[in-house]
Amino acid sequence: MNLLFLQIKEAWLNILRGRLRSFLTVLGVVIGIASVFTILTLSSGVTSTVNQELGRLGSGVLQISISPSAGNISFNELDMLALKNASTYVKSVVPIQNSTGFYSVSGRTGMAMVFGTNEQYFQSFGMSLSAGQFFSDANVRNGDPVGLVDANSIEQGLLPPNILGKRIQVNVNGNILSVKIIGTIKSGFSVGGNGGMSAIPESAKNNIPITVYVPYTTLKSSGMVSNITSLAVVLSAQDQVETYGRLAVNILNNMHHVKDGFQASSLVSALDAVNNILNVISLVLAVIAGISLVVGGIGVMNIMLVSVTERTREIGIRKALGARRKDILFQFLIEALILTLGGGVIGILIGWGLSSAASSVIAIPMLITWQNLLLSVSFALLIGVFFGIYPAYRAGLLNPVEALRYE
Amino acid sequence: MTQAQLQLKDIRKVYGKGDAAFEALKGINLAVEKNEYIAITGRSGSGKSTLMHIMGCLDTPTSGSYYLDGEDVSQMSDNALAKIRNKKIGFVFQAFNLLPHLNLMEQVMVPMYYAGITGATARKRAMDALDKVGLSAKWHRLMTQISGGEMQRVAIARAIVMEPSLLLADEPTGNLDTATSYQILDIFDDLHRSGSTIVMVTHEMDVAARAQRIVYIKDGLVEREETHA
Repeated sequence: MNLLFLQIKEAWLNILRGRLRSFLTVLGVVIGIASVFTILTLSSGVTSTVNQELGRLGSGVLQISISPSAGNISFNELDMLALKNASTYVKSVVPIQNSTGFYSVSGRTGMAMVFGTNEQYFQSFGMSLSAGQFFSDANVRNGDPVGLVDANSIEQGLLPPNILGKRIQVNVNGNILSVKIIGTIKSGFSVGGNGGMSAIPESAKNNIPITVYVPYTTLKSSGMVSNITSLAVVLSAQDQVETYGRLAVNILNNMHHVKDGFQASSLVSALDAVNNILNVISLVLAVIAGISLVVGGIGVMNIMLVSVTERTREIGIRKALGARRKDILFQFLIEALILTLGGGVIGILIGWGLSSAASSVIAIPMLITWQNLLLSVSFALLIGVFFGIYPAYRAGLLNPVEALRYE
Repeated sequence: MTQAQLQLKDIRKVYGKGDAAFEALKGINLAVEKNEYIAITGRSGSGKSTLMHIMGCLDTPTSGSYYLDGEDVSQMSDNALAKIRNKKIGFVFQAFNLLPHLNLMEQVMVPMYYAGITGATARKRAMDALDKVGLSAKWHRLMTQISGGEMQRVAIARAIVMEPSLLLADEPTGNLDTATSYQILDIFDDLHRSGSTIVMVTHEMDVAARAQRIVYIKDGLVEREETHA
């Protein structure tokens, strides 16, 4: 046992003696730290989800589409070849064409999104098979009526379990296509994770579309879409996305003899925008949390000042026994630190509960990290030091004669 | 002639400034030899408390010099005085002035902690000091579990644990009944016999009579001294 240990023990006993007062004193800190911890935890969860999606989709993905004002132009095979050869960073160029309609198979019906692309799409976007196989470049060349569905849709009961090898009818605006399912794709594509998705109530199932992946040539020949109006270019380097985007738009404008006929947008910029919004929300919440921390800190300072006055005589006794200014200062600073640290720990526990509740409501994963725990504890200690130092300093300055005379 | 353990030369203390100035001590000269036992007495307002504060290094004089163990402590800084109080002066107060929360041993260990003495050494010295006041068996008791006389004995143990040059007692029996007062005064006699230098401030003549020498203070000056056998 040494002086520090004794000071911690005495501070702790002082806090315990005035339990209610101590608790009310740190309530502001508790609320502040609970908010800070919740914000940190939720934003970590969202950031990690967003980054995971970014990583899986390939962060160097560029979407090239036809400007709304461009009139009647569309992509052709020559464009795709030109885009592929425009830069050594290009890994693949894949057409992306969506169409929405209905499906029916084995007596089940529902909404369907028919997704036309080529054989390179699956690998480019890091998708893997659950069963069967992807369609081949030959399927794409021939416009074969083959396709894949998400394994997820089977788990959700939207499609029968033995779908492989079956034919599924899709109807888009009256154009009917019969697609033979040759593979199922592993789950993990939707933001927010699929864990919670299997618990969809029966009544809601009709409103969730399944996705049918088919060769874009098939989509075109079925008459469901007339032209390819969107391409995805996968680059090997994320920092090339912008440069390549400008180059690609120039090449296409020249090839089609138009001005401003094409536009390029990247997932990076889309996700950046999402991240920016999240950051702003976090900042606003952090400011609110900060205000409650400051208010809490002022409460701690107030009570510490009262405590110094109440214990003036004790300070006098300590000085008579040989306590230096810094010994007295540390005695009171330690008490303020124990108060705010205790408030911080309670705040973290409450924040833990809040984040767990919030993350289940808004369906984002709860991510408790050491950094966030450490940051919250540091905040609590910082408040303790910042608002505890002045009362402690005043205590240290007290004149021993006057302090001993104090009744 | 060797210098006395405590040597006060022309000590003056003025409170306030200008017209409101009040001179509590007007030039005190006093020497206390090693192992001497003196009593300082006088009416309230005589300046004996101010003198005790200066002798205890709780306060500094406006002018004059105060040599403690040959060192002039009259103009030292706050922290230097804290160190002197810690190592060279043991206080016994009228109101006991023990700390809340701590048991008897911890009470006695506090001055040692401020001096950086810890662990087994501190515990042994605390037990020895408690033994001298007959309380070593109750070392684990809290303040709420002992009597007033025992509290003052703990305060004495705390005052002597650093083996100070000066044991300074301010009305040590003021809050105690007669029987208990005599017990405390007997302890002072024991400490005096074993070599302590004791200065006791009191206004009770029968208490002052236990000392070798009585110093009468009046209006901020030494009025007279009386030496006993």
